[in-house]
Amino acid sequence: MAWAAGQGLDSAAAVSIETLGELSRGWYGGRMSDEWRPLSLAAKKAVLRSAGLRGEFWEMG
Amino acid sequence: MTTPWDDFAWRLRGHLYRCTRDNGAVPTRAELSADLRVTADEVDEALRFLADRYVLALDEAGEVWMAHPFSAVPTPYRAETGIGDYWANCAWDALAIPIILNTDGRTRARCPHSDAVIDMVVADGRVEPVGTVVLLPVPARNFWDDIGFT
Repeated sequence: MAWAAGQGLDSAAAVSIETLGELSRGWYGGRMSDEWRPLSLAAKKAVLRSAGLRGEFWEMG
Repeated sequence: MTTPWDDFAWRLRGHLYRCTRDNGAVPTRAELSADLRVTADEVDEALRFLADRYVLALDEAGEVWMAHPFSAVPTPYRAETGIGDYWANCAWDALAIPIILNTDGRTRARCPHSDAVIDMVVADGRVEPVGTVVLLPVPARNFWDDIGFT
C-alpha cells in the first residue's frame, strides 16, 4: 500500500482476485437480462457483505 | 411507477447489452436508432435516462462510453472469452465480463506496480491466479464521482 500512497491513491483498497470474482457475481449478476434493474442501496450493501468486504472503504451511505 | 417511456429506455438497455455481447463492441447511437427504428432524439433521451440512473456512462458527445462492465473504447483490459473479445473498464470489469456471459475468459493486464504481465483467468467459475491483489482506488460511496478515474 506504500506504493499506492506514493501514487496519490491514499484511499485505495487492496482486494484479492478471488474476492473480486465474488463481488463481480453479485454486483454484475443478471446484467445481460432484459429484466435487470439497478441494485438498491440495500442490495449493494448485501453484495459487499456477502463478498466479505467491510470497513469504511466499502460503506455506501 | 413505470411509464411506457421507462419501458423503452430499459428495452434499449437490454438491446445494447445483447449487441455488445454479439458484436464485441458497444453500439453507437446511430446503430441503436437504426436497430430500434426510433429517432436519434429518442435514443439520446433514453441514454440520458439510463445515465442519470448510473446504468451507463456517456462521453461528451453523448455516445455510450461505459456499459459496465463493457467499455466502448479501448482500454488496457481486453477480456478474451469463449463468446467474444471485449474491452473492459478496469481489472474488476475484466473479471466480470466472462462471469456475466457465463463463460470462461482471460485478460492479460500489466501490473502498474511491478510492470509484470498478469494473466487473469476465469475458468469453470474459478478466478485465478490465486494470490493476485487488485487495487481499487476509490471508496465505494464515491464510485460515480469520477467514473473514469474509478
